[in-house]
Amino acid sequence: MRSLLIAACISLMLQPCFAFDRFYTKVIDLNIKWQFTNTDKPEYAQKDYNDSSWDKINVPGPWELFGYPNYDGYGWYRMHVFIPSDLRGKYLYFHFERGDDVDFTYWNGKPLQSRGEFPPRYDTAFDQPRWYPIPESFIRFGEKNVIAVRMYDAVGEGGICGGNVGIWERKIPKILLDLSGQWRFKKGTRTVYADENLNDSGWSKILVPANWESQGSEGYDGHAWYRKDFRLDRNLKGEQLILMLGKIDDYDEVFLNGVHIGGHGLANHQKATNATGTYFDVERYYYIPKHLLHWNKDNVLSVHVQDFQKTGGIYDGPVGILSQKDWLDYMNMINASKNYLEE
Amino acid sequence: MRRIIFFIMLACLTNVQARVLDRELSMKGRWRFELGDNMAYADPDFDDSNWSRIYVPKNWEARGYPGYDGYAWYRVSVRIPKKLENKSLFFKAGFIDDVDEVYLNGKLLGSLGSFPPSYESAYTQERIYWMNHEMVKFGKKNVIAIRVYDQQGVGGIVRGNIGIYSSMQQPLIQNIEGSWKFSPGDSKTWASPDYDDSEWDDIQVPSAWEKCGYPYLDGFAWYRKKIHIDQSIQKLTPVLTLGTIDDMDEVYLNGVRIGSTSHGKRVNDYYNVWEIERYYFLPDNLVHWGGDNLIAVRVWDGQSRGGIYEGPIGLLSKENFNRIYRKQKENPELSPIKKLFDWIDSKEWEE
Repeated sequence: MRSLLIAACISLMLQPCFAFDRFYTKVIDLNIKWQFTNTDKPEYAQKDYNDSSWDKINVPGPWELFGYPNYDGYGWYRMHVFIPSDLRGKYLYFHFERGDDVDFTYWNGKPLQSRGEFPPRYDTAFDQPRWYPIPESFIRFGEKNVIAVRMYDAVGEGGICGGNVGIWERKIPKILLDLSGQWRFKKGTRTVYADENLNDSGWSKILVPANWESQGSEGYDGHAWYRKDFRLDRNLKGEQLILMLGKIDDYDEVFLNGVHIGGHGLANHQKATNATGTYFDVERYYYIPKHLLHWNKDNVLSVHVQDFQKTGGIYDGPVGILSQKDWLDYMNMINASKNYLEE
Repeated sequence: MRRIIFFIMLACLTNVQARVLDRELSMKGRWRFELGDNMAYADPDFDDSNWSRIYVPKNWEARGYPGYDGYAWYRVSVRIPKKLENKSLFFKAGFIDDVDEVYLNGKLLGSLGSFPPSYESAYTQERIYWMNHEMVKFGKKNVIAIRVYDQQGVGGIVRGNIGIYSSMQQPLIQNIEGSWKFSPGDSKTWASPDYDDSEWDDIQVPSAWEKCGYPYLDGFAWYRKKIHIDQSIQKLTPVLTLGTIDDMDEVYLNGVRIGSTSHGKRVNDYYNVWEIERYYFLPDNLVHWGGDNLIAVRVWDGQSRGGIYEGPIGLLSKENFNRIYRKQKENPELSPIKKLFDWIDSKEWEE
């Protein structure tokens, strides 16, 4: 028994000392040669575009080192990557650590996410690691998928310059109802947008999670509202449920069927508590008051978001509803790895 | 839009100071003592003049009863001065080995441990019993009788501070702790007495909501409780005390906002809002005297512990509230919150 304990202790000590490793695992390595061109055409984003005549270039690394010395301006990277079927149901990210300066990334021709802003409103994002959750509906399992990355470099090194480029799987809690995908979206501050019975059929469509700049609102900073209808399995009645809203840039206030259920930074009392402006990196979890849920008709989620600069909106997931028990298990796991780091 | 609210709210006190007990009377010394067990010994009129004398506190083995295990009684008479009438009093009986029952003027004041046959020792616990004012004869002789059972080893009132102590915390007219209705989230409609909260969760008040099924909850949540307020206490001008709340609160009586405690312009760095006790006047015309009243408390918590987490929760007479208020005001050195009182005096709040 004692030797078992000792073995357990040793195996604990041998765990990676980086908490992150416990939640993110690289499942497909893309630190390989990509197709590359230093020209710029919209059709490069398309899934079926023929890039066979393009250069092959090392990733990661500044393009200056691989045949394009002193080149500043636009460049496109393309990758045909096979996604095995056994990744279905996993929470997957496309990740690269450093992109100089601006990128807009497409998956099978669909806008995935972007960081920074292209000219004329140029704004660099060279210091932002890219973690782009890939909607499962975008992925063709058991086939080649096409990643296309449009990049703009203003000065110095350019391109996908650094990091462990690839497809990463993230360990997430069990989601009872996935709320990612298409939501309705409208810019503005009007509080009536929280109303349960509001007719939002004229609102535009937006992908969640994704920064809104990549979904038709390029360069937008300010207020906007997201809305989504959902229906819950009656078997969940009586259970304490948690709404997981991923990460939101910067502030949010969340309404369920017209009633405030939580938020960061927007409600009155919070203004007094010296919001530090770091909410953009906080994962959102909200208790769902049981008595607010409808069981015979749709429920309406409304999320008021305020973005001050750069990336805006619900930009990282998962987004969905989970049981309190699964959520607490997950939180305990996060806390355990934090404690481990502190020790 | 900014609006000025003339604040009905009255006072906020640190609970830390309120927990401190002041000694009013030391009762160390020679008491009457008798081996054996007879419930008649609890009677204040029982004649104990032929009992032996024993020093308290000290184990009885060291005071002439070596090797004795079993029952014994202690008795003492004490004059409790009239000036203590207005205080919340506690009787400290020190550490008793093993089980005790304390009687004040023939009525049970408190007990720890358990007598045989379901014997359970409480020798590690200090006995501090709240003294119900109705049981005390102020300005007169009071009889304290303590029934003790010792199972083995040393026995009796073995050590500790013995005496009568007072607390700044005043007794309540009506205790409203216990089960309240609770929901995370925020809606103005939840203030209304007509709102149906029957589907809400029940939660224990006082206690941090993290300990009652809502771990990690931050932000807004509401508490609701329907209470009967007796007509007879109208003359006492009851004040609502909500103990301590983490972090901010807004209180509604029968749907009308009667006060709030939060960060504000006047009080920024002087105190932590989650450390202060809440007292709110109940406007006479809002109270349904002799009927049901709805108390709704909107709470906002910034991080970690949240909710109405520490008592007492209930109604306090205006007179007793004034005592607390005066004591704090007269002894600002007791409390780091003098500036708070400057603010309360202004009775003005800008939101």
